[in-house]
Amino acid sequence: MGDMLSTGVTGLLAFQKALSTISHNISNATTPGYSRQTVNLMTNPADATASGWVGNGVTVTGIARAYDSFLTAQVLSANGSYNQLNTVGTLAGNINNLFADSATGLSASLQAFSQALQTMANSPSQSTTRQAVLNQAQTLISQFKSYSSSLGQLDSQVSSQLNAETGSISTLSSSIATVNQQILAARSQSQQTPNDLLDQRDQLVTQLSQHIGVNTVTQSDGTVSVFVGNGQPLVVGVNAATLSTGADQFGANQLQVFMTNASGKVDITTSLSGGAVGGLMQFQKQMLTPAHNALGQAAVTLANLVNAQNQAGLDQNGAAGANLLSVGGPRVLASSANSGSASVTAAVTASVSGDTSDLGGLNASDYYLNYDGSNWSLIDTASGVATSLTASGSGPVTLTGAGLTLTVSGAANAGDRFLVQPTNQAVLGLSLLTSDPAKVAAAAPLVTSATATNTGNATIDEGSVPVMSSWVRANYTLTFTGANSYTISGSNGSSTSGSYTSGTPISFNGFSVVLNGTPATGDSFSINDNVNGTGDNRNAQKLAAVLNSKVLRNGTQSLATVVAAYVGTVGLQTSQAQSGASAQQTVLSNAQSAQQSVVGVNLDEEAANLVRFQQAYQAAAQVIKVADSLFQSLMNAI
Amino acid sequence: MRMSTSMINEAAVNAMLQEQANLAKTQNQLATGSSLNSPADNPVAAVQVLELTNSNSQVQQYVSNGQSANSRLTLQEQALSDSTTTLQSVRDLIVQANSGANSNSDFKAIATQISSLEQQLQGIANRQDQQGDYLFSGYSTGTQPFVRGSSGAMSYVGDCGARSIQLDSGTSVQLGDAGSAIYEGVSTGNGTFTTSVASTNTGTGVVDPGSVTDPSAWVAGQYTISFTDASHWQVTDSAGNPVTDASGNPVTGRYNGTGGSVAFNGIQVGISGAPAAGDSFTVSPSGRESVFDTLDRLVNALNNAGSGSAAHAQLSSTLGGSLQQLDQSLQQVSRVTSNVGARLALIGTTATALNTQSTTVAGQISNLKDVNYVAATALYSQQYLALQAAQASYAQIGQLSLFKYL
Repeated sequence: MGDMLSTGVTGLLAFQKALSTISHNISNATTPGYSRQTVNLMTNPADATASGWVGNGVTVTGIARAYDSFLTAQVLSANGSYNQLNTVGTLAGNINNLFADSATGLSASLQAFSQALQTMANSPSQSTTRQAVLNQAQTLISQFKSYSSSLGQLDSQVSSQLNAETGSISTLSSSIATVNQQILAARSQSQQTPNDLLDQRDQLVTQLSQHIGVNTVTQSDGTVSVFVGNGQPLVVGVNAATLSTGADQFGANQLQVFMTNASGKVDITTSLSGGAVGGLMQFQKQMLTPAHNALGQAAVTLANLVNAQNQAGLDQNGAAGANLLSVGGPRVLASSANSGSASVTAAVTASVSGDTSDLGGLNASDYYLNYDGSNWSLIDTASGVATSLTASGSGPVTLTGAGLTLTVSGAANAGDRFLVQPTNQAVLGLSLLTSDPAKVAAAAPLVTSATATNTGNATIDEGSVPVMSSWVRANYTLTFTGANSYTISGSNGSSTSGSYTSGTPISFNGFSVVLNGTPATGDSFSINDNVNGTGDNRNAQKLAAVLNSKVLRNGTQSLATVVAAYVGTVGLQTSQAQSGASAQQTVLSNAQSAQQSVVGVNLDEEAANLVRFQQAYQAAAQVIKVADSLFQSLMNAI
Repeated sequence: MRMSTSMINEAAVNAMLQEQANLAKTQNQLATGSSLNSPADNPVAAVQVLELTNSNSQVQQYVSNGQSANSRLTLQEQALSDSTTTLQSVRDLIVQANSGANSNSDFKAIATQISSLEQQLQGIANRQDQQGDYLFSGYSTGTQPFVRGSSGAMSYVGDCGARSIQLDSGTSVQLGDAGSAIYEGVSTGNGTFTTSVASTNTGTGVVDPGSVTDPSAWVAGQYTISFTDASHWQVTDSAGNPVTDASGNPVTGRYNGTGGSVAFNGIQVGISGAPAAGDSFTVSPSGRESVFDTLDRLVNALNNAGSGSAAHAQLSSTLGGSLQQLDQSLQQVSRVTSNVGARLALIGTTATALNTQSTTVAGQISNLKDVNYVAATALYSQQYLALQAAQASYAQIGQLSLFKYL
């Protein structure tokens, strides 16, 4: 009967373990990362007797945790993607709200500026309407600045978030390495798997996947190696690398991510994806930098268009129009790794040439300017596409391309690189150059007329001054000395003569006029300096129209349409990021459900198991009682 | 599928959070009345709304341009109409002066009246708008356009500019007319030639302004009609050579002593009265003259009218010429007036078109942006119900536990 007793005891012991495992499950029903555990029961080896094999009860061979490596990997990947998109979506919402209001946004301010110019065109002699133009220009500039500073705040938010993220990642990686260490120690003590340590490590890895996209590989010794980006090892066995942020080789504002491990410190920025870090990188690269550049591009375009047109006219004092707006120029940053002595300066071609059609090539992109030892190339940092570059001169070399004029002085070595930011800093330098309302050039430079006593039918157009600086200001009289010949004499004593063809422009001293028709000998036309033209609004109307002149995108788009379209682009990117995040959330919650359905604790199930093992325990106890009463019966019989 | 307890809870909570977010969004749409609260809500519509808003404010600007043009052109119209009235008064005075029963003192009185009318006309031509800009000085709106120079002659010191205002994307209207185009450059005489009486005439012959009978036969030049005696005339050109007719014969004729016409080179000039032998009349090609010069000449002629019938006959010819000249001026002013009227009409029709356009654009914006209250309210009730159901079912599922029965 001894056998019966020991068999009963094996049951008691096994069911005790089962019951404590169930209570462990119940207690941890809400513990994050907990995997439900089950006892593995096995019959003890039976004793062979003549009448057959007599069983020896039950034993617990191990306590296993529910685990599915495939489902776990799916959760990790979905978690990384979701957190990336969610970070982008949240941050994008900020830019989106910035550009949201159609009544007060940049587009509305541009329109208000254009309207102020038109109102001035209605009564150009009034200083109130002129003052209104300057006021609207100031409002517009403030709006640009406020947008720029909001974007700057987002930039520093991204930087500080990136710092915090890399800090969290470093902490988590070292925790994972520590748990790896503990698992190694536990396994050296016992052949059984340390379930709770494994759960703890899985939970740490899941947390890590919120911050950065990870891949894991379980090693034969039970440790897990964690890789980020394109296989950069964050945790290998018991060794953890740390992540940190720092400036890039160009010293630009954008932070880069560096990984430090035993073999040194490397920049892993470009290879990172997934998690909040991936989201921050994506947001910075795809939305924030382009937003800054697009805003800068709008500012550069505005300033160049307004300045060029203002210079083409005469202000209220009759003086040639000057620049009204100043704007920040392109920024060129040399790589700290450059070995040559070359320095590069850049300017927007349109502001050098004064020809606003040169704005057509200017993009809201940043470029790498690379030197391969003989040639320079300009590569778009975002798309990696090379832009055509025309080189001229030597020492200094002038490079033109992408709407920019780059001047290289000094000697560059092969492999030297520069970062060229055409419009990034533009808004910082945006300001109104005058507070004098008279400086708005409303009048055209020339006023032409036919002499009242002319007897021919020739007419003169309003004339033009293609380049103000080459115009010799004076009053000129064009007199026909014959039906096909004329002389021009200026009040400054200059004169010229030529032969007349109807419709062919006649140029002299920087002005150009077109006459049509048949003049009579002796007919004369005056081409006067419009110095008193305070009521002239011809240039004001052109100023009001510049915002709608199609100079951007190779002459297909106007500033107004580009700004409006940009708002649409921001909206589209935001809506994509937000709907992507919400789709990825579904993927994540499906993956979590699938995983939870395997590893999660179901309290009803545990309750049933509790009852089951309670009954088994009670039965085993009864076996001992029966064994005892059998033994007593035997004793009594003696 | 096996469900874990935490999963049941989480799923229910997520469902409620999602419903709450949807409900908040619909509520926001209902509260703001706009279904487009950020570009991300509908990027395409956001761009369209921006462009339409821009175009609508542009339309509003065009409307205000039209109003501003209208007020200025109305001022001009008034000034032109006043000019016409003044010139009409001068015309009446000329007719009165030329009625034949006036003494030299009458002429002087008329001259004084014309002179004051001329000053009145100068005042009109120098009118300013409400902002102090001269109406008729071209671009030089700060310069008084008509001033008397040191020589005493009126001159125009403005320029020929005429600024225009944008009324619509493709329409602009000329806002000003230079004073030179209104009061200067009036064709003298009948537009082709002028006639005058030689100051040395001794007879009482009066020449009328003449007319063109055949424009193609007219050869511009200066011609002299001279009377060899009281009843014979001949025509010579500026070189003193006789003018010939189509057959090559010199143009000559007889004069009946009271009135007749001289015709050559496609023109016809009427002569009345009694020219004396040796008297001559001149035909010159038309030039151009300002209204003020015409009036100055008139006043001068009236003030300096000589005595005697020959002098009065000369004055009569001058008055006849001036009348013709004044009619030309009146025509020029009325041409400009009708242009201004046409521009005012254009402003009116454009304003109507702009209003229609503005209404259409506002409607389009509303379609893109404004919330459909019926649909949004229905959606709101639906989401409200869904949230209620999620909450109620969660409360019930939470009650389910096997432990309650143990």
